[in-house]
Amino acid sequence: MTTLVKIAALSVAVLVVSSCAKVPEVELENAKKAVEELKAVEANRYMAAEFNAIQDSLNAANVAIETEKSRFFLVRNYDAPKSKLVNVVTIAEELKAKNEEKKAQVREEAQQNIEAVNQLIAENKDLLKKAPRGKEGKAALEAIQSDIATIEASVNEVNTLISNGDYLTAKDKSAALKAKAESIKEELNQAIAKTKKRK
Amino acid sequence: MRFQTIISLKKALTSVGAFFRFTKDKPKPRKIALLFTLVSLVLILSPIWVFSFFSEKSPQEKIESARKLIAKAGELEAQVYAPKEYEQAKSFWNKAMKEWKTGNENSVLYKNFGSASVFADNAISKAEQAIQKAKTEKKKCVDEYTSKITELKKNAKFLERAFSEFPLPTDQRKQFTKYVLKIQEAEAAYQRNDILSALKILNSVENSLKLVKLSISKTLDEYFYDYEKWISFDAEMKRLSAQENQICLVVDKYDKICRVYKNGSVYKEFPVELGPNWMGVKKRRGDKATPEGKYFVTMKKSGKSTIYYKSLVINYPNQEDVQRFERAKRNGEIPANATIGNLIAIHGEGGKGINWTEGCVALENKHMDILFQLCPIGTPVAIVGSLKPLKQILVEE
Repeated sequence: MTTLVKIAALSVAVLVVSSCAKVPEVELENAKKAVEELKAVEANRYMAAEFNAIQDSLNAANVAIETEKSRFFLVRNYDAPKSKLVNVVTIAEELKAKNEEKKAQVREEAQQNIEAVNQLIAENKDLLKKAPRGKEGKAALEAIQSDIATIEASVNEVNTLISNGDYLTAKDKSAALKAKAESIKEELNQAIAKTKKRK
Repeated sequence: MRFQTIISLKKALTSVGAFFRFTKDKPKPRKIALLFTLVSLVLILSPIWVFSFFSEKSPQEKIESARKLIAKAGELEAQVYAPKEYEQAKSFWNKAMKEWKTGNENSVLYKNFGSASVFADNAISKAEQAIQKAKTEKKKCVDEYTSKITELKKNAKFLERAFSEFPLPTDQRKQFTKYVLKIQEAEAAYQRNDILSALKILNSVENSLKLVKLSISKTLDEYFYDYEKWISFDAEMKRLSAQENQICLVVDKYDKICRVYKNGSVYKEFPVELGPNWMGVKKRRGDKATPEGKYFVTMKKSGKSTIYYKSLVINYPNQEDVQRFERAKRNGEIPANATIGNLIAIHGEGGKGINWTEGCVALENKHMDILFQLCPIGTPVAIVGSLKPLKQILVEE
C-alpha cells in the first residue's frame, strides 16, 4: 500500500509540474533576432510601414506570452503566441528579401540616373562646341560650362553615396542632376536652333 | 429543469459515495491511492486557484492598449514627427512588460503588477501624445514645405528667367544652379514621403536663394529705373516720324528689335544683335555695351569704307554720354585712363544668333539693305533698354 501511495504522490507531483506549459523561448529569441536583422538592413528606411507592423507583431506575441503566464498554470497555453512568433520570423524573412529587392531597385535607379547624367554631360559638351560661342556670348557660355562642371562634381558625390549604401539620397540627388542636365541640353538645343534659323 | 439537475447531482454523489464506501472488509489499496491522489490535487490546487483568482489582476488590458496605441503612433510616423514622445511611450511600454514579466515569475502570493500598471498608463499617455503630435507636426511640416517650395520655385523661376534674359553676373548663376539642384532634390525627397529631409534641404538654400534674388532684383530694378524715359523716347520717335514725315528708329535692346517708324506708325521691325554686355549704358570703350540715349545718323558707310557690309554711324558719344563718362571717371567707376569710345553704328553682318558686337547694333545684310535705303543722314535714332516693363518680362512664359 505504501508503494501505491508513493506512486500516487509522485503522479500528483508529475501532473502538477507537467501541467506548466513551456514558454516558447527559442521562438521568441528567433523572432527578436529576425526583427533586429531587418533593422540592420535598413528595412525601417526602405519599408517603414512593414517594419513597424512586424515590430508590433513581435510586441503582440510578447503580450500574449505574458498573458498566458498570468493565467492559472494548469490552463496556460502558449500555442497561439508560439504561432505568432513563428509567423514573425517567416514574415521577417520575406520582408528581408523584399527589402533587398527594393534597395537594389533604388540603387539601380540611382545608377541609371547617373548613367543618363553622364551621357547628357557628354552630349551637352558636344552641343557647347556647336553652339555659337554660347547662347549670349562668352559669359553665357561660361555659365553653361560652369553648370556642367557643377553637375559633374555632383555625380562624384552621388557615386560616393551609392558606395556608402545611401541609395535613397543618391536617387534624389541623381534625379535632380538628370533634370538639370536635361534642361541645359534643351537650352543649348534651342540656342543652336535659333542660330540655324537665322542663318 | 432545476429539479432534474438536482436529481442528477444526487445520483452522481451517490455513485461516488458508493465507490469510496468503506466496507467491513479492508479498503482496497487502489481505491485508497486514487482517493489520496484526488484529495492531494484538490488540496494543492484549490488554494493556488483561490489565490490566483483573488490575487492582483494582470495589467494585460492596459499593456495591450498601450501596444496598440504605439503601433498606431508608428503608422502615423511618430518616430519622425514626435520622436521624443514615441520613444518615451516605447520605453514605458518596455518597462511595463518587464515589470509584468517579473510579476508573473513571482509566486501567486507575491504577484504585484502595480508598477507594470503605472508604466502601462504612462505608455498609453505618451503614445496618445505621440499620435496627436505626429498628426499636427506632419501637417505643419507639409504646410511649411508647401509654402517654402512654392516661394523658392517662384524665386527660382524669376532667376531662371532673369539669367536667361539678361547678361547677369556668372558667379551668381553658378550659385543659382546649385540651389536649383537642391530644390529638385528636396522635391524628390518629398515625393518619397521624407518630408523632414525635404524641409532640411529647402532650409539650407532658402536664405541664399533669397539673397541672390534680392541682388538680381536690385540690378534689374536699377536698370529699369529708366523705363519711363525709354517709353518717352519711343513716343518721341513715333511723334517725330508723324510730324516731320521722316523715318525714325528705335532700338529695343531687350527685345533685340530695330523698330522703324514712318508717318507715326511702325513701318518695319528687324531683329538685331548687340554687344554681349548690352544691359546698361555704355561707360567706356571696350566694355562691349551698347549705348542708350537719343542719337541721329551722322554718316552712312558702304563698300570698302566699312567691314560690316553697310553702316549707319550715330553720334555716340552725345553730350549726355560725355557727362556720364566724366562723372564715372571722377567717381572711380572706370579706370582713369579709360576712353569713351566712338564709331557706334547700326551695321550689317548680323544674324549670328548671339550678341557679339563691341557695342554696335548689327542687322542681317538683307535687312541692312532696306534700312540703309530708308535712313538718310540725320535720321533720329533712340536706343532704349526695353519697351516692356520688367514685371512683364519676368512673368512671361
